[in-house]
Amino acid sequence: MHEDKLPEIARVFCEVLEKQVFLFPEPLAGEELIPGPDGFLVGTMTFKGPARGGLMLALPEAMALEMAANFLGLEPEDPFVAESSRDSLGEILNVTCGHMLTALYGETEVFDLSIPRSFSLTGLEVAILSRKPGSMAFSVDDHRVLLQVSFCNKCPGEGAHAPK
Amino acid sequence: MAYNILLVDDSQTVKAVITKALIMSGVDLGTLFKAGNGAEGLEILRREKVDLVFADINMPVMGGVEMVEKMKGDHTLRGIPIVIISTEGSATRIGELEAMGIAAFLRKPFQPEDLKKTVESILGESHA
Repeated sequence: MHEDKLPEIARVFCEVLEKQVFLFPEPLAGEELIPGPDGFLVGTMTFKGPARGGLMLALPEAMALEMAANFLGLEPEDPFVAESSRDSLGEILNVTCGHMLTALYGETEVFDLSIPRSFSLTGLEVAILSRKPGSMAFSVDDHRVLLQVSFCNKCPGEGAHAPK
Repeated sequence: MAYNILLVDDSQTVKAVITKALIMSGVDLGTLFKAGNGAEGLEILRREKVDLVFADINMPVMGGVEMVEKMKGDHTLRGIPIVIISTEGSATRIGELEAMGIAAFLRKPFQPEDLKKTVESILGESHA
Protein backbone atom coordinates (compact mmCIF):
# COMPACT_ATOMS: atom_id res chain seq x y z
CA MET A 1 0.00 0.00 0.00
CA HIS A 2 1.26 3.45 -0.86
CA GLU A 3 0.61 5.17 2.46
CA ASP A 4 2.26 8.34 1.21
CA LYS A 5 -0.63 8.84 -1.23
CA LEU A 6 -3.34 8.88 1.41
CA PRO A 7 -3.19 12.59 2.35
CA GLU A 8 -3.62 13.61 -1.29
CA ILE A 9 -6.49 11.14 -1.74
CA ALA A 10 -8.14 12.50 1.41
CA ARG A 11 -7.77 16.04 0.08
CA VAL A 12 -9.40 15.10 -3.23
CA PHE A 13 -12.29 13.31 -1.47
CA CYS A 14 -12.98 16.31 0.79
CA GLU A 15 -12.90 18.66 -2.20
CA VAL A 16 -15.33 16.51 -4.21
CA LEU A 17 -17.80 16.28 -1.33
CA GLU A 18 -17.58 20.03 -0.71
CA LYS A 19 -18.06 21.00 -4.34
CA GLN A 20 -20.59 18.39 -5.38
CA VAL A 21 -22.83 17.90 -2.36
CA PHE A 22 -21.89 20.72 0.04
CA LEU A 23 -20.70 18.38 2.78
CA PHE A 24 -17.50 19.08 4.69
CA PRO A 25 -15.59 15.99 5.82
CA GLU A 26 -12.95 16.16 8.53
CA PRO A 27 -10.28 13.45 8.58
CA LEU A 28 -10.25 11.36 11.76
CA ALA A 29 -7.34 9.71 13.49
CA GLY A 30 -6.95 5.92 13.29
CA GLU A 31 -8.47 5.17 16.67
CA GLU A 32 -11.70 6.82 15.58
CA LEU A 33 -12.22 4.56 12.58
CA ILE A 34 -14.89 2.37 14.18
CA PRO A 35 -18.32 3.38 12.91
CA GLY A 36 -21.55 3.24 14.90
CA PRO A 37 -24.27 0.60 14.70
CA ASP A 38 -26.15 2.11 11.74
CA GLY A 39 -26.51 0.34 8.42
CA PHE A 40 -24.09 1.46 5.73
CA LEU A 41 -24.24 1.91 2.00
CA VAL A 42 -21.01 0.89 0.33
CA GLY A 43 -19.79 1.80 -3.14
CA THR A 44 -16.80 0.19 -4.87
CA MET A 45 -15.03 0.64 -8.18
CA THR A 46 -11.70 -0.21 -9.76
CA PHE A 47 -9.25 1.61 -12.02
CA LYS A 48 -6.78 0.29 -14.54
CA GLY A 49 -3.97 2.06 -16.34
CA PRO A 50 -0.38 2.93 -15.36
CA ALA A 51 -1.51 1.75 -11.90
CA ARG A 52 -4.34 -0.56 -10.91
CA GLY A 53 -6.45 -0.68 -7.83
CA GLY A 54 -9.77 0.02 -6.24
CA LEU A 55 -11.67 2.56 -4.22
CA MET A 56 -14.39 1.92 -1.65
CA LEU A 57 -16.63 4.42 0.10
CA ALA A 58 -18.86 3.41 3.01
CA LEU A 59 -21.28 5.81 4.61
CA PRO A 60 -24.33 5.53 6.89
CA GLU A 61 -27.65 5.20 5.07
CA ALA A 62 -28.90 8.44 6.65
CA MET A 63 -25.92 10.31 5.25
CA ALA A 64 -26.42 8.68 1.83
CA LEU A 65 -29.91 10.21 1.79
CA GLU A 66 -28.56 13.62 2.80
CA MET A 67 -25.88 13.39 0.13
CA ALA A 68 -28.37 12.41 -2.58
CA ALA A 69 -30.71 15.24 -1.54
CA ASN A 70 -27.88 17.78 -1.79
CA PHE A 71 -26.73 16.32 -5.10
CA LEU A 72 -30.20 16.60 -6.60
CA GLY A 73 -31.20 19.85 -4.90
CA LEU A 74 -34.27 18.16 -3.39
CA GLU A 75 -35.64 17.69 0.12
CA PRO A 76 -34.49 14.44 1.78
CA GLU A 77 -38.16 13.36 2.04
CA ASP A 78 -38.60 13.45 -1.73
CA PRO A 79 -39.15 9.86 -2.97
CA PHE A 80 -36.64 10.37 -5.78
CA VAL A 81 -33.91 11.00 -3.18
CA ALA A 82 -34.29 7.56 -1.58
CA GLU A 83 -34.47 6.00 -5.02
CA SER A 84 -31.23 7.73 -6.01
CA SER A 85 -29.09 7.27 -2.90
CA ARG A 86 -27.09 4.30 -4.26
CA ASP A 87 -26.69 5.98 -7.62
CA SER A 88 -25.50 9.21 -5.98
CA LEU A 89 -22.98 7.28 -3.91
CA GLY A 90 -21.65 5.66 -7.09
CA GLU A 91 -21.35 9.02 -8.78
CA ILE A 92 -19.46 10.56 -5.85
CA LEU A 93 -17.11 7.58 -5.91
CA ASN A 94 -16.68 7.92 -9.68
CA VAL A 95 -15.83 11.63 -9.45
CA THR A 96 -13.47 11.03 -6.51
CA CYS A 97 -11.70 8.26 -8.41
CA GLY A 98 -11.25 10.36 -11.55
CA HIS A 99 -9.87 13.34 -9.65
CA MET A 100 -7.71 11.14 -7.43
CA LEU A 101 -6.01 9.59 -10.46
CA THR A 102 -5.32 12.99 -12.02
CA ALA A 103 -3.93 14.27 -8.70
CA LEU A 104 -1.65 11.24 -8.29
CA TYR A 105 -0.56 10.54 -11.85
CA GLY A 106 -1.01 13.79 -13.76
CA GLU A 107 -3.03 14.68 -16.85
CA THR A 108 -1.17 12.66 -19.47
CA GLU A 109 -1.93 9.19 -18.13
CA VAL A 110 -5.08 7.40 -19.27
CA PHE A 111 -7.07 5.18 -16.91
CA ASP A 112 -10.09 3.00 -17.48
CA LEU A 113 -12.59 3.08 -14.64
CA SER A 114 -15.09 0.34 -13.84
CA ILE A 115 -18.77 1.01 -13.31
CA PRO A 116 -19.39 1.67 -9.57
CA ARG A 117 -21.22 -1.05 -7.65
CA SER A 118 -23.13 -0.54 -4.42
CA PHE A 119 -24.36 -2.79 -1.62
CA SER A 120 -25.28 -2.67 2.08
CA LEU A 121 -23.18 -3.62 5.10
CA THR A 122 -23.65 -3.43 8.85
CA GLY A 123 -21.62 -1.06 11.01
CA LEU A 124 -19.70 -4.02 12.39
CA GLU A 125 -18.75 -5.18 8.90
CA VAL A 126 -17.55 -1.68 8.02
CA ALA A 127 -15.57 -1.57 11.26
CA ILE A 128 -13.80 -4.78 10.26
CA LEU A 129 -13.09 -3.43 6.79
CA SER A 130 -11.67 -0.24 8.28
CA ARG A 131 -8.74 -2.21 9.74
CA LYS A 132 -7.36 -2.87 6.29
CA PRO A 133 -4.43 -0.79 4.98
CA GLY A 134 -5.45 2.18 2.89
CA SER A 135 -8.38 3.07 5.12
CA MET A 136 -9.24 6.67 5.91
CA ALA A 137 -12.02 7.73 8.25
CA PHE A 138 -13.84 11.03 8.13
CA SER A 139 -16.42 12.81 10.21
CA VAL A 140 -19.20 14.45 8.21
CA ASP A 141 -21.60 16.27 10.53
CA ASP A 142 -22.49 13.49 12.97
CA HIS A 143 -21.68 10.67 10.58
CA ARG A 144 -18.61 8.44 10.27
CA VAL A 145 -17.42 7.72 6.74
CA LEU A 146 -14.85 5.22 5.53
CA LEU A 147 -12.85 5.70 2.34
CA GLN A 148 -10.49 2.90 1.38
CA VAL A 149 -8.04 2.74 -1.48
CA SER A 150 -5.98 -0.22 -2.63
CA PHE A 151 -3.24 -0.40 -5.24
CA CYS A 152 -2.17 -3.53 -7.02
CA ASN A 153 1.57 -3.80 -6.41
CA LYS A 154 2.22 -6.19 -9.26
CA CYS A 155 0.63 -4.10 -11.97
CA PRO A 156 2.85 -3.86 -15.01
CA GLY A 157 4.20 -0.38 -15.44
CA GLU A 158 3.21 1.04 -12.07
CA GLY A 159 6.79 1.48 -11.00
CA ALA A 160 7.53 3.35 -14.20
CA HIS A 161 4.87 5.93 -13.42
CA ALA A 162 5.56 7.10 -9.92
CA PRO A 163 2.94 9.46 -8.55
CA LYS A 164 3.85 13.11 -8.62
CA MET B 1 -36.38 27.59 -31.88
CA ALA B 2 -36.78 24.65 -29.52
CA TYR B 3 -33.84 22.26 -29.29
CA ASN B 4 -34.11 18.51 -28.82
CA ILE B 5 -31.38 17.31 -26.49
CA LEU B 6 -30.19 13.78 -25.68
CA LEU B 7 -28.61 12.93 -22.31
CA VAL B 8 -26.57 9.73 -22.24
CA ASP B 9 -25.44 8.68 -18.77
CA ASP B 10 -25.96 5.56 -16.66
CA SER B 11 -26.47 7.68 -13.55
CA GLN B 12 -30.03 8.87 -12.98
CA THR B 13 -28.60 11.41 -10.52
CA VAL B 14 -26.41 12.97 -13.19
CA LYS B 15 -29.24 13.01 -15.71
CA ALA B 16 -31.47 14.78 -13.16
CA VAL B 17 -28.74 17.33 -12.39
CA ILE B 18 -28.11 18.05 -16.08
CA THR B 19 -31.84 18.35 -16.71
CA LYS B 20 -32.17 20.90 -13.93
CA ALA B 21 -29.10 22.81 -15.18
CA LEU B 22 -30.50 22.89 -18.72
CA ILE B 23 -33.83 24.27 -17.47
CA MET B 24 -31.99 26.87 -15.36
CA SER B 25 -29.84 27.84 -18.34
CA GLY B 26 -32.87 29.10 -20.22
CA VAL B 27 -32.34 26.84 -23.22
CA ASP B 28 -35.48 26.61 -25.34
CA LEU B 29 -35.98 22.91 -24.73
CA GLY B 30 -38.01 20.84 -27.13
CA THR B 31 -37.83 17.17 -26.20
CA LEU B 32 -35.30 15.94 -23.69
CA PHE B 33 -34.37 12.35 -24.53
CA LYS B 34 -32.54 10.17 -21.98
CA ALA B 35 -30.44 7.04 -22.45
CA GLY B 36 -28.49 4.86 -20.02
CA ASN B 37 -25.59 3.98 -22.32
CA GLY B 38 -24.16 4.64 -25.77
CA ALA B 39 -26.12 1.86 -27.47
CA GLU B 40 -29.43 3.23 -26.20
CA GLY B 41 -28.28 6.70 -27.20
CA LEU B 42 -27.57 5.59 -30.78
CA GLU B 43 -31.01 3.99 -31.01
CA ILE B 44 -32.63 7.28 -30.08
CA LEU B 45 -30.39 9.24 -32.45
CA ARG B 46 -31.40 7.00 -35.38
CA ARG B 47 -35.09 7.40 -34.54
CA GLU B 48 -35.45 11.02 -33.43
CA LYS B 49 -34.27 14.45 -34.49
CA VAL B 50 -31.67 15.53 -31.92
CA ASP B 51 -29.84 18.89 -31.93
CA LEU B 52 -27.31 18.30 -29.14
CA VAL B 53 -25.94 15.29 -27.22
CA PHE B 54 -24.51 15.21 -23.70
CA ALA B 55 -22.70 11.95 -22.96
CA ASP B 56 -20.64 10.40 -20.20
CA ILE B 57 -17.54 8.28 -20.99
CA ASN B 58 -17.75 5.50 -18.42
CA MET B 59 -20.99 3.58 -19.03
CA PRO B 60 -21.98 -0.10 -19.24
CA VAL B 61 -22.74 -1.82 -22.58
CA MET B 62 -21.31 1.01 -24.69
CA GLY B 63 -19.23 3.89 -23.34
CA GLY B 64 -19.08 7.45 -24.57
CA VAL B 65 -15.89 7.06 -26.64
CA GLU B 66 -17.39 4.21 -28.69
CA MET B 67 -20.63 6.13 -29.11
CA VAL B 68 -18.72 9.16 -30.44
CA GLU B 69 -16.81 6.87 -32.85
CA LYS B 70 -20.06 5.39 -34.16
CA MET B 71 -21.70 8.80 -34.51
CA LYS B 72 -18.74 10.18 -36.43
CA GLY B 73 -18.79 7.11 -38.67
CA ASP B 74 -22.45 7.61 -39.54
CA HIS B 75 -23.04 10.38 -42.07
CA THR B 76 -26.56 10.99 -40.70
CA LEU B 77 -25.26 11.55 -37.14
CA ARG B 78 -21.79 13.02 -37.54
CA GLY B 79 -23.02 16.62 -37.64
CA ILE B 80 -24.78 16.50 -34.27
CA PRO B 81 -22.69 18.34 -31.65
CA ILE B 82 -21.55 16.17 -28.73
CA VAL B 83 -20.61 17.43 -25.27
CA ILE B 84 -18.76 14.92 -23.12
CA ILE B 85 -19.43 15.31 -19.39
CA SER B 86 -17.10 13.10 -17.41
CA THR B 87 -14.90 12.74 -14.39
CA GLU B 88 -12.08 12.04 -16.87
CA GLY B 89 -9.06 14.25 -16.21
CA SER B 90 -6.62 12.87 -18.74
CA ALA B 91 -5.62 15.54 -21.23
CA THR B 92 -4.53 12.68 -23.48
CA ARG B 93 -8.01 11.17 -23.64
CA ILE B 94 -9.70 14.57 -23.88
CA GLY B 95 -7.38 15.39 -26.78
CA GLU B 96 -8.35 12.13 -28.47
CA LEU B 97 -12.03 12.98 -28.10
CA GLU B 98 -11.46 16.47 -29.45
CA ALA B 99 -9.62 14.99 -32.43
CA MET B 100 -12.65 12.76 -33.01
CA GLY B 101 -14.76 15.91 -33.26
CA ILE B 102 -16.58 16.45 -29.98
CA ALA B 103 -17.88 19.99 -29.57
CA ALA B 104 -16.91 20.42 -25.92
CA PHE B 105 -15.78 18.68 -22.75
CA LEU B 106 -17.07 19.40 -19.24
CA ARG B 107 -15.41 17.83 -16.25
CA LYS B 108 -17.48 16.67 -13.29
CA PRO B 109 -18.28 18.21 -10.94
CA PHE B 110 -19.50 21.09 -13.07
CA GLN B 111 -21.52 24.16 -12.21
CA PRO B 112 -24.81 25.01 -13.98
CA GLU B 113 -23.10 28.15 -15.30
CA ASP B 114 -20.44 26.00 -17.03
CA LEU B 115 -23.16 24.03 -18.79
CA LYS B 116 -24.99 27.23 -19.79
CA LYS B 117 -21.81 28.70 -21.33
CA THR B 118 -21.15 25.46 -23.20
CA VAL B 119 -24.67 25.30 -24.63
CA GLU B 120 -24.47 28.97 -25.64
CA SER B 121 -21.16 28.45 -27.38
CA ILE B 122 -22.57 25.54 -29.41
CA LEU B 123 -26.15 26.56 -30.12
CA GLY B 124 -25.57 30.30 -30.05
CA GLU B 125 -26.63 32.79 -27.40
CA SER B 126 -29.95 33.59 -29.06
CA HIS B 127 -31.62 30.61 -27.41
CA ALA B 128 -31.25 31.98 -23.87
